[in-house]
Amino acid sequence: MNTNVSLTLPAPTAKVEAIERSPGFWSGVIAKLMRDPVALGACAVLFALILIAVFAHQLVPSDPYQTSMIKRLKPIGFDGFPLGTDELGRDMLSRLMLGTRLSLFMGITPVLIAFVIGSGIGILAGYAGGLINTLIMRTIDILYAFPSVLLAIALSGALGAGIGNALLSLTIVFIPQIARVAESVTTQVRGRDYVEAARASGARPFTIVRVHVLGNVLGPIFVFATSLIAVSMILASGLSFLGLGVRPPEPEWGLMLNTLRTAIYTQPWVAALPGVMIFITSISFNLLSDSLRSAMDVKS
Amino acid sequence: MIFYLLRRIVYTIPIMIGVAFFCFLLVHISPGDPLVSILPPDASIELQKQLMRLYGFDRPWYEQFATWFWRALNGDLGTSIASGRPVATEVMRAVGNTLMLSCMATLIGFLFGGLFGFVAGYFRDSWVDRVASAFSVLGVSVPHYWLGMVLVIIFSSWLMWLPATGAGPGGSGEWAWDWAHIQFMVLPAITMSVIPMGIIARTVRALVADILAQEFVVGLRAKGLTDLGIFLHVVKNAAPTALAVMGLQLGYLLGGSILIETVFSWPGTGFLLNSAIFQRDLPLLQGTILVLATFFVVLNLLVDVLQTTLDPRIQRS
Amino acid sequence: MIDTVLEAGDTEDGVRPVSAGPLLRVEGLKVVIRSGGRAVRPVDGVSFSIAAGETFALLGESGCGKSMTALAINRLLPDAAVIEGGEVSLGGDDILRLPETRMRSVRGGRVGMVFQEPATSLNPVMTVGAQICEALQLHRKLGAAAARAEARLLLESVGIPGADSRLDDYPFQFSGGMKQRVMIAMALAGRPELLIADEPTTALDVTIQAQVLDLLAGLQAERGMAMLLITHDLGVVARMAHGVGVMYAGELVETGPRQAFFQTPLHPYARKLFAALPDGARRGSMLDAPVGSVPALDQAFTGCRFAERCAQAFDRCDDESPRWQQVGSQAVRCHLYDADSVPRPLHRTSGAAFGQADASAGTPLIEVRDLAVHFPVRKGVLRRVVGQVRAVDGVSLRLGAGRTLALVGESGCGKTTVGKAILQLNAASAGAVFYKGENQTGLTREALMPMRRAVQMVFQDPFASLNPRLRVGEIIEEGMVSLGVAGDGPSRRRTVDALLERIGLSASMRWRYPHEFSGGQRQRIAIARALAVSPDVIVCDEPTSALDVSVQAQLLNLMRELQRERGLAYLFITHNLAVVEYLADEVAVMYLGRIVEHGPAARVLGAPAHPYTRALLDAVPKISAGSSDSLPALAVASDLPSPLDPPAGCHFHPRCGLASDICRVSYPAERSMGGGHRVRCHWADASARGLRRPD
Repeated sequence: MNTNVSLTLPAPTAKVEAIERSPGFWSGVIAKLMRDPVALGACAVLFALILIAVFAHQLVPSDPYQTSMIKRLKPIGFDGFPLGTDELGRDMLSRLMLGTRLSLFMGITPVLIAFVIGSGIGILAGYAGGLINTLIMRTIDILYAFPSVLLAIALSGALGAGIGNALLSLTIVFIPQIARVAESVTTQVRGRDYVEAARASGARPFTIVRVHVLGNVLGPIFVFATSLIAVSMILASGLSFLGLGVRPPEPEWGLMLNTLRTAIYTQPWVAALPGVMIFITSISFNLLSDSLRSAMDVKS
Repeated sequence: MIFYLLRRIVYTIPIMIGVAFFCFLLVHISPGDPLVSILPPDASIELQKQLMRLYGFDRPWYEQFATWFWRALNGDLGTSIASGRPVATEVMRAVGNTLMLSCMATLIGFLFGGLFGFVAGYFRDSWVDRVASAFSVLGVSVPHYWLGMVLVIIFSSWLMWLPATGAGPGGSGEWAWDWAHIQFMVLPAITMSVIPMGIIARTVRALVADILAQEFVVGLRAKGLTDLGIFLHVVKNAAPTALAVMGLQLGYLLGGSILIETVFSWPGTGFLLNSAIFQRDLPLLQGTILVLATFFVVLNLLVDVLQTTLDPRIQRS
Repeated sequence: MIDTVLEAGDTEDGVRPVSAGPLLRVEGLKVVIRSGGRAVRPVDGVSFSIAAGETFALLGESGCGKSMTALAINRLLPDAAVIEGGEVSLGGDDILRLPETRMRSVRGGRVGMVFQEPATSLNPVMTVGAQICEALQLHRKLGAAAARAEARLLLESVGIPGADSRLDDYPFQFSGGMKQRVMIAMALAGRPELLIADEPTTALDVTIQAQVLDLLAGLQAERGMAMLLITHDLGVVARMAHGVGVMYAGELVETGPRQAFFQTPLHPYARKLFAALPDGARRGSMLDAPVGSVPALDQAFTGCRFAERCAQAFDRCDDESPRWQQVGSQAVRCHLYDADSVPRPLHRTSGAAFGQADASAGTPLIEVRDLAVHFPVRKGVLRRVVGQVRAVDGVSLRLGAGRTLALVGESGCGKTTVGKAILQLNAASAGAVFYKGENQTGLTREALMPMRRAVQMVFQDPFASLNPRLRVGEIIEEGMVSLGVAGDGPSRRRTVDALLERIGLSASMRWRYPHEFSGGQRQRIAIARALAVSPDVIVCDEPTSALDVSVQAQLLNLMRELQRERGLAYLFITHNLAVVEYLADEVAVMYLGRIVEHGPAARVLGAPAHPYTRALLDAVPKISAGSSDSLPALAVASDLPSPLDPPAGCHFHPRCGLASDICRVSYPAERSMGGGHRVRCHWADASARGLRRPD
């Protein structure tokens, strides 16, 4: 019996057919995003940030680790330091640029891992239903019974400071949230007639999950996950702000905000700069997520 | 209704046990021997074993958990390593301050978020909607600990209108509802209210837009109702969900106050947590988190019950 | 013959029959919806009038502008829609020029409104009492106590039992039919002169529809209201209306008194509406459905809007918009009736007849024996099973090759569950399903493969049954891949192309997504998906209930042709008795999980022996020119009981006019009425003999 066959269609043979082919779902979403100025703006900002993160070492105007006791806490526009210096006299611009690396990494990674694990758990629970669903979802409810900030701080506080521990805590915070969304969307899709139709054609459970469930479920989960990245950015920097994440002298926006706290009376604008970066990044992710949500809303 | 209440309470018991177990685990996932912090560095093996027995660390984990849980139920959360005082006393002293601050912040967030959301939902796709929506996006995107710093820069450092840190004049002392004390609350409460404001505004906007799109609203107009009359119908429909979201936000603030309290040196549970983390005072960390999580679970329960009483559609049986 | 031109702003009247002093007069009403540079005109110059005590029905398929007309009369249009021209006068008041404050006393006061969807047309978080009182206090200036007393009277007058206690119930505690009664009570609260009912019974079951229609007719007569009834259902028009207006693509195309209209509909579109209706008389012949669909309303029309779908269209129809022509008591907008054109003889066309499939002897393809499907009801912390919903409770059926068996019943009777259980999509709690003599219950997925290749399903909702993320080609191919039929990729693709052509789409459509198709086209794709594995049997679960009459006719034609070509057997699950009469060889009537009557279609429908079958048949509004006063001899009272706790004895006894003591105690045994006609009723003989269906 030939059941283990892919449902992807062979490429169109004739050119005429290729013209009549409707754009796929994701290319439709991208086309809609391209027409949305807000989404384009957010994408441009994020793309620039990623470029800065990747080429930070090539782009920085001066050594971000070079301290100087005489050049401490210089104002914005100070000679040779366009954004001033921090409490150890290091160049703010260079540190903010290099900080993009860790801040983005710490914000995005937990959501990525949680997206994979959480979707897996949620889709399993939603598709299996019954006892398996009850067991999984009740366990998740326990983690869900903590406000996310508290959970992240409890785990990080117990595990101790460090990048790895902060990533682990944040991942554990986001898994239940993503799993819940995945479970509810999967449960909805599972009851649809087209899943019944596939069963009536003898499709294997694995095929049904791959073709019918994943195709319809990943979109909404993905949108939810992008909105979590904004939360994750703020939380990850928050952990560093509390001294639980990245450790000095590595530049990271939250940590920089923490060490500059004492300077708010002397150089308030320099002290506020790292927060501006966090704000810009999280707002871009939030706007992108909103645009993505409306672009995926197929109503025609 | 009473049966529903009982059932709902029974449902929270396993969650509560799970939460307690998680808090219990916190001490055990932390690196290093839990005794290290109280042992003298030159302690003999004998003394170590003795202490192990004394603290019960030689028994199997489930026995340890049962003992710990039973004590916690009786209000004994252990002793703070740093201060030597009972954890329960420390937490209870701080939790009042946090509760006060969170309630104030939630109230501000609900009033303004509700207003923004309602206006935005009512005049959907107008400029009012765009402005209100922009505000709510800003609210959920802003790193609130940073906003706190900016507010301090503006209102304390520059304008010198409001104090920057603390919870009352002259360091510690009893809280009182006079301006001398309240002025300390203004900045942290406003800072804290930004996130619930954004979230409530988004929720209410979606709710109102959704309600207005329903057929019964055309029915109301066909009945000859004025705009005010229709508005009241919409409020009645939106209220249960909006209030539920508000309740949950209060819970998130209670648990998430640590960053704000650190910025403003507000003597609440967050501040307590912060010092527990820095002094690696695990019993204090564990106890504070258990109390906050319990608050959150109970709040969830209350929100559920409230929503059920307000919204007749939710089955009570 | 009088020629009269009625254009926008033209206030001239005198063409159509008008009773002395019309209460409502609509003249040249035009509505435009502007969005994104497009201007759609859902109502484009509509004129009619209604006298007090008269019911005027606006008839047409979805998207022709009926509802927009109704909303415009009350000035309740959505924000994007603007009244562009015309005049609406109610009792002499110029509605379109009244200030908004005075308009509010018209809405709900002089004009009451009832909407289509009872599930969403009441405020879900307020008691029905409060909602009715609100209208009473607003328009009748009653105090709280007086309003409550009046609300109770209103609920009683719309036939809600226990009105006093039900005032404090919330909408979700009422069934669909009861909600619609509440809606009517609310509309009556302001003692309206005009009642606008927008598809008031479309969402209801046929027996409940009959109750609500009777109620509306009774209330109207009693209160002398005028009624504007908006409907797509000719049966409802026949039962309720005094005057009829047929709408097509934003225009009225024909008006006239009911009697004349039903005797000789004049406009070709109106005739098509009749011809598209399935019924017993058209058995074995094709339904005459208009091809294509309603044109988009954002274009400027030069000729007749129906021309491109009209079989009798000639050159003039494309060039010139037809004017109103008076024909007897009727008026019609069609060039065929113009004195300048040569009128042609008009016949009700009927398509080629085709032969009936032979009744096959021997083993039936599908046999269902004592099938039961129970769903546990869980409650409490431990999710203990506290009861069983007996969705299907002992059903036996046989379906032979090439035959059509209709499974009929109201919503909630378990008919869909039977269909899914046959395909082993629901596990049977008891009993067995045989395919070609082989028991299918409890088999593994692999062991079910032979049956899966032979038995396929078409679902009710064409918007939920196709995966929105797959292309049409992938959807059709899926079954072939899973079941390993139709060989390799290229040969599967040839099959898909052939199928797409066969169902009336083109092969290139395989690259499209479902949302690019209309409801009728989606249902065709669903049929193609079922056909792709060359099945013997297709279980069709209400495949046409979401479709317009003309689209339904196109689909039924296709299904008949496919049956003839491929020798398919259909299990046709439906609530629509007209479709059953048209299509079915055998009928099984289902009530609360059990088959109450079963037999050849002609016998069951022609001489029903079970009171429930009779009630179902009587509840269907008859499409005839005759008087609408004859009420059914045996109307069903009240709602369908819960299958969680079915009534003792015969499940039907609480709603049955013939019920006696024995019916309340024992479930009737099956008895034969001869000719394969079997029934479960203690009074079957009396029912069949004494109370024959008045045909």
